[in-house]
Amino acid sequence: MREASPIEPPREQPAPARRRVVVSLHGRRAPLAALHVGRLVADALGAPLHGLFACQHAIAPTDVPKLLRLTPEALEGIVLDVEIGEPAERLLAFLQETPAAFAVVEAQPDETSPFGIGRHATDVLGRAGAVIVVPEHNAPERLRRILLPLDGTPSTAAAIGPVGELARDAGAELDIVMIGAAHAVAEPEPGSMAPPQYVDQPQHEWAAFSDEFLHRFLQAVGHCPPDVQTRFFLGTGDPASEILRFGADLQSDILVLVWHGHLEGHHGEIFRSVLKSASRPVLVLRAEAPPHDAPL
Amino acid sequence: MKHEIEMRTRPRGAQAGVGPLPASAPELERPFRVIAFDWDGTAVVSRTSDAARVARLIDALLSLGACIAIVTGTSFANVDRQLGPHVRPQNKRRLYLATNRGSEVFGHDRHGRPFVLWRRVATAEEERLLDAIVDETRARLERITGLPFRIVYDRLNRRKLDMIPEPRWADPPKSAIGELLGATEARLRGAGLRHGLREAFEMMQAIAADFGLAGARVTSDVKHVEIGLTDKSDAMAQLFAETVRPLRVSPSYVLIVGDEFGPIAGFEGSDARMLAVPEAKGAAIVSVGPEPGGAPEPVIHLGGGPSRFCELLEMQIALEEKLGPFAPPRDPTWSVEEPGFDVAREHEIESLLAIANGYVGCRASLAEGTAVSRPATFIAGAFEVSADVTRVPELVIAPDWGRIRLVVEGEPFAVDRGRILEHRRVLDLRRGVLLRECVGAVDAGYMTRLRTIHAASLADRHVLLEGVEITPLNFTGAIRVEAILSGEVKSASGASHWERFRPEVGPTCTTLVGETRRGLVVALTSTSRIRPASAIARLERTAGPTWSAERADLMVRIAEPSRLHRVVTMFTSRDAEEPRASAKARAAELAPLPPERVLRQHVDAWAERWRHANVDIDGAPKIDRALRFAAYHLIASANPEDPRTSIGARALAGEAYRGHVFWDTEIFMLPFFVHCWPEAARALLSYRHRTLDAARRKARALGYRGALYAWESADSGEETTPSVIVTPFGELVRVLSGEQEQHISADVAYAVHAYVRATEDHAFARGEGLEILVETARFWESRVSPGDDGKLHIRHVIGPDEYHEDVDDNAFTNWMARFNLEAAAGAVERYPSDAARLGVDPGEPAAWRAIAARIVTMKDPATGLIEQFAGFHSLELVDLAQFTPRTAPIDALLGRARTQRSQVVKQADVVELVALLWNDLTPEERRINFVHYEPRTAHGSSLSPGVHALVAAKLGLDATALRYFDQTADIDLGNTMGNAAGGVHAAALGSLWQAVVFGVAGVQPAPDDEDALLVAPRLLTGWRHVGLPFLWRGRALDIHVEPGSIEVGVEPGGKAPLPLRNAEEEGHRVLAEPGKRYASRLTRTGFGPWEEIRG
Repeated sequence: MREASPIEPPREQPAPARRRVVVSLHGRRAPLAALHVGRLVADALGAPLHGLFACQHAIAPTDVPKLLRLTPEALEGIVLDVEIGEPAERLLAFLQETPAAFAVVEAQPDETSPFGIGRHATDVLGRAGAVIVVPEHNAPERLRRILLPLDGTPSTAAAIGPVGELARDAGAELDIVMIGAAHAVAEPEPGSMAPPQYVDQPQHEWAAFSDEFLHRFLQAVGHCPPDVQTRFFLGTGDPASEILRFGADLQSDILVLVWHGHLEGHHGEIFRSVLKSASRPVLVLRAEAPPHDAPL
Repeated sequence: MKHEIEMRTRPRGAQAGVGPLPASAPELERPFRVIAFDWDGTAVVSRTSDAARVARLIDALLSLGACIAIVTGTSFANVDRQLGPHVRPQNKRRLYLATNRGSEVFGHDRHGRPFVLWRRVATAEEERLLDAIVDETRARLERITGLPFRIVYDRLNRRKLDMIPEPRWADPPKSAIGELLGATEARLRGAGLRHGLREAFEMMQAIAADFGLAGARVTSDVKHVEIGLTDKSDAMAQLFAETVRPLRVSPSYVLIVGDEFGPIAGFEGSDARMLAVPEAKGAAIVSVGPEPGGAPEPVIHLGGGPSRFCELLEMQIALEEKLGPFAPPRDPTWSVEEPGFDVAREHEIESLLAIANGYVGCRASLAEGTAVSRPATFIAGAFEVSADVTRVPELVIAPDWGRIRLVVEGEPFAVDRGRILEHRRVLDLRRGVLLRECVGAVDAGYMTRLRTIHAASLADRHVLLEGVEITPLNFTGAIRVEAILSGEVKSASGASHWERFRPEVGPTCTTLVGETRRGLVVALTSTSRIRPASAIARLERTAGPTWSAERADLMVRIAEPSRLHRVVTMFTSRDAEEPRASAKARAAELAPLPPERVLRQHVDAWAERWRHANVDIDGAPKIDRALRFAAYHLIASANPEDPRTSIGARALAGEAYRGHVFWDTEIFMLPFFVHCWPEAARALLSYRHRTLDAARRKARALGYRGALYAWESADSGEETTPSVIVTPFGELVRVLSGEQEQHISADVAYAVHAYVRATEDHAFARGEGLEILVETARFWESRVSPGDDGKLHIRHVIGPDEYHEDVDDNAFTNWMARFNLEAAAGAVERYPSDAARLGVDPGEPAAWRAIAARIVTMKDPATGLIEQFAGFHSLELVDLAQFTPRTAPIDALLGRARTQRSQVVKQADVVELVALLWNDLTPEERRINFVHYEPRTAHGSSLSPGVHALVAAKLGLDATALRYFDQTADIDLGNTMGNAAGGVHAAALGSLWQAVVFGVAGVQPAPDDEDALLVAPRLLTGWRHVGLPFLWRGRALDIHVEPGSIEVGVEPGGKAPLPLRNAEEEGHRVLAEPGKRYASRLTRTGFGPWEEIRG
């Protein structure tokens, strides 16, 4: 058992952070789907899988299976950590110490929350870097296809590093989707791309556009490993509906959303809508705010 | 008092008095493009002083291309009296005077005559308020002090209240401002105005507010307190709107100089208002004034007055010499600048700034490479098979000839590794060179300035030039430079086109010979020289399996530049029997020449091209620059010496479209060459002649006679359009263009006819041209089919509007086929013996004419409206405005099926017909068809906006034309979509030229006179002048269009007089003689008679 300490231990030159996967555990019910997704991700990454059980009173890790009404075998291979305190706070503290970690939380439907998911998951989303939100009963069997919607801005693409690594390590295909729409304007961020307005000859233009799009945002900005299999798709219409449609049509095992942290505006609305309606796990990656145009 | 002021004027880091310019201001050591400055006190001591020195410096900077803006409180006449006589008229086009404290801005026309660019006109109520405020201020001051105050009423938009109307201070020089301030304060405070000048100033502000004068500007030059409607910020806003904003001039290339930025007597100096515009942020700002209250940040306070200002200008001129070939162009309308390094935009920058000479094209990748660079050197007309599923031919990616490896104190220098403080690339359109400047440090902190220059010689197409200047900025030490020829290249499809390489190291140069999989041999040599030679510690030549390199170890000294000059020669087995021997021989020929001379020859070749191609547009700087950019890439893509090549859709700037040739060349690009470089036009058409056999085979394969050109053509002319594509929506779609977009044959025929008419190239006309016309006419003869209506139809085609496939009787196709048949008949009748040699039956011309007459035109005889194809009018009408703005093409939003069932038009189709066959339609028919189709057109092709600009301009639809001009200019230069990454849009570039020359200037062959040229302009709002060279039937014309006049000069020479007309119908005609100039003035009824004028 670890307790949160107000005193930071003396820091030495830190070793490169090891990637970890942590599934949030609390209460009296095991988040089976989240645990399953946690296992898939940890196995793919070759990372240790932690189960972080947060409660108000001190208990021993050996008590966790019983509290969750699981056999010890059901939690085989999982490092069980127990923290005293509010579950979201404890999970965030864990993530702060191991920034390379993926957090996995159960969605727990909640119509009153801005994302349509439970308060715990909502609290974690707001402040964590890479969180997989897993619907209660919808865990994929394997990670074969990952759907990554991109809005064509460098600031969004800059956040996709973790998903590139996950796709590579899981041997999953990365399906990139971009959505064009009426009554929309191209992103003003320098270096952004919108679907081409001029498709002089589709047999050349689409190939050139998708080649440039993937090179620009996956390789140059997103640093996605080059050996990841990718496909590029263009959707049109309401972005949230299109993301969900592509997720279903392409049988994506996980959706990825890059979030700049705003709930308001166009992007915030898409984020909320997808999260609310997604029937499959959603990996949320936090991005920095778009930069200003500042040439060297 | 004076002493006190002097004590406070010591600038930061600079000594008082006129000593040498401080070395602590490196920000002033850049060639400024826009120099804006105050006049009195900054440029001249007083209005009566001799301004010859500063004026000559201004003239010199103007001639270097700088834009000079004088911002002053005085009148135009006062400045012009001092400045005007010393500035040559031809340099004045970039000279602006903002006078009367921001109330008016003057520019100069092409003759150097001033005109009002902008003027703030006060309303009667504003005039009344100005009088009332100054009267009231004087009354109050007189009440308080009992002193007299004099009002100056006769100033534009302002009134001046003289605080010290005493003879001694009637016209105080700026240098005496400290003394003046003391005297004024003494006068006011001594008479009971407790806070002196400041109180008077605030009093006027308060009165202005009480009287309700909106936007009142209260200022003071110490002698006066003034109330006005404008100040220097208004002048700067107008000047920057004219110069800086439309061309996105980087603020670091703007210099603002004044003498009063700091506070005087407690209120801001008059020049501070020059900085109250957003564009001033980041500019270099200098004060040469005494600045008694100190100069605010970020002003560099040099002091020293007008004398120091002249030194500053002299330093600017000297900088040009110092930078030599690395000096970036000052004139922003002659350059495209890309500051910074952005991994996201790198590919599009590599395209936009590409250099080429029609034989070879090179993307503007950084010489030392980055993780995201996509360097590519293309050999025009050389193709290899792609590595993707289509297996269609793609342009060969030649060995990378310009690669440089730079190692600073053991660490490789690269922009994506070290710390980069400054980086910019500039395409110098005038010289056809790519320039780069970079200041960066490797990890260990060694800081280096790197300047490079690259050119593909237009004087000798087998020569490529590279220059590198390296200056250590904070160390003395070792730098290694390697100049590499590298065969480690791949195409975008992933193909390595190379079977083998043979690198060689010789005593004077390195060589790399490569052979492609299809057997093309390419040989390159590289010869580098280092200056100063004393910097070389070691020089060696070395090679690996796929590369060869010249390696120089330099011992460099802090702040001392070392330069590498490199000459690369290139020959292929397409142009030499022994490419290796040819490349080495050319290298040997060039070896004795100084590199500057080789570069000079290239620059001179560009100057000659610009003499025939440069269009000046005054009043629309964005279009002016965009058109120069267009002409640059068109010139760079053509090679009059090689009839085996044509220009691909993305020119020689990128790999998209794989270098394939479409109708883009003949319909959109060729007119530029016909009238600016006919030799290149002939070569382009000869390519079509050389690919006739492939066109014949295609026609035969589809069951027709004659020649049907490939929709996509590479080196052989065989059809190379892929048959299917996978769309980004995941659909597998058949591509029908290769089979059905048959108007391509008529387009080629149209271009042949236009070329022959414009050049009178009889040899071509009776040879290659005739054969093309005959074979394409034969195709249409076999292609038409009779209908029940007794007419002839062309069914199952695709017109320019590719949203609608497999349609019957596309009007554009039918009309162009008719034109083709008529043109062929005319050519056969003109050259009967040549036609007989080609096996033309004597009855064929008549048959072609009869067919042409029977082809349905789709024109409603009652209304003149042309139906785009059979059934178009009955399709669903979609209101495109409902989908605006959008971030996807309309066919993506509507879906393919609905788009095909709708009246949504992809690109100019009937409008293209109107543009090309203008004379075949009545004025009313042109208008109704444009008005009908324009709102239905979604511009899903880059070929569309330029045609709309052209037709709208000719129809006098000003606002519509301006909108389309803007859209056309933005296709590459305003690229926010990333689709310039694969190369520039060559057809759109050509369409911009046509829109200006044919559309706005209204230059075209007269409809009813074979030899005559029509100049019937429709100048657009805000456009003050269009000046263009135009070749017509062997005569070089110099055409100028201004709001009230047309002027045409005919170059001296032995040609017969040229009939000139100034209106389509009626109009005035003159036989313009070589060596003479003619003008026609606009009257109430149109352009009047031509008059001969003096040149």
